[in-house]
Amino acid sequence: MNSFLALRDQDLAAFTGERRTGIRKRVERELRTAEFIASIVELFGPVMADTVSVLSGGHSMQAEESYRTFSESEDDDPFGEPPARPPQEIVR
Amino acid sequence: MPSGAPSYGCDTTMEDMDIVRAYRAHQHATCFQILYDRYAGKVYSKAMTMLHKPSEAEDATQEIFTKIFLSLGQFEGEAKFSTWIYSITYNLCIDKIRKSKRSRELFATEMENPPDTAEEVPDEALMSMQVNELRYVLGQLTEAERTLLLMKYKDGVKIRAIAELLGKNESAVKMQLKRIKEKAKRIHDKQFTSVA
Repeated sequence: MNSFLALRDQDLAAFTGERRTGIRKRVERELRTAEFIASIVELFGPVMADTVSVLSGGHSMQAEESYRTFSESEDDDPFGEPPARPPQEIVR
Repeated sequence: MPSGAPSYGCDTTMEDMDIVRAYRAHQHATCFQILYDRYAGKVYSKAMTMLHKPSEAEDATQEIFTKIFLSLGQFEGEAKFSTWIYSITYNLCIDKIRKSKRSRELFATEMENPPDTAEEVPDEALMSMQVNELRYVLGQLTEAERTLLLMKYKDGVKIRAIAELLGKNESAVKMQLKRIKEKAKRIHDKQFTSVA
């Protein structure tokens, strides 16, 4: 048998049991930590950046939400007719 | 995702690329486990080739797998997944060697040695040694010589790839390998071949 391949097989055989499992656990731990940090940054990054921006005198990056008023929403006419005009004369 | 691949996870019959896609989609622990089981031993063996110490090879294996799984999104599948893993392995090990004091030796061109005119030692002369004999011979070589020899014959890395990894040209690598084989054969014959 090729002695170099035998050497490789010995290396592979040495990488079993606790050594193999231990490294896998360490990798999993590092991946979980990276995932946790990434999710923290994803959640709070924009808010933190906005806070810093406002504290340093800038404007908030978040768009101001506008709500339709009650009267505007009532004006929606599905038939395209103009809204009813108020009466010209005041009936006393 | 290709047909036949379960959308919820991975199984051992799946191709590497399908497992990578499934891992990207679901981050399923099974996908991680399968890829780790497939490549951990090979990565460790290659790290041993370059770093020589089991503890350093273990640390390198851990770093390599962390790097692989964190950058799986960048793997587009142009090359084979195994090729991608091995390039990460060699690059990380070379970085580690560069950071250590051994770098000068590994990346030297050894121009001070004049080219040999002797006939090239056939590969079989090295491959037919007993494993314990080979270990002895490797122990007598310098770190750079040992690494080159193992990359070529143990890991089967092509001359062109070795040249790229070490930043040398192919003929320089071939010449270096020729000298190392001669030296290895000399060491072996001196120690194990009895002279009447």
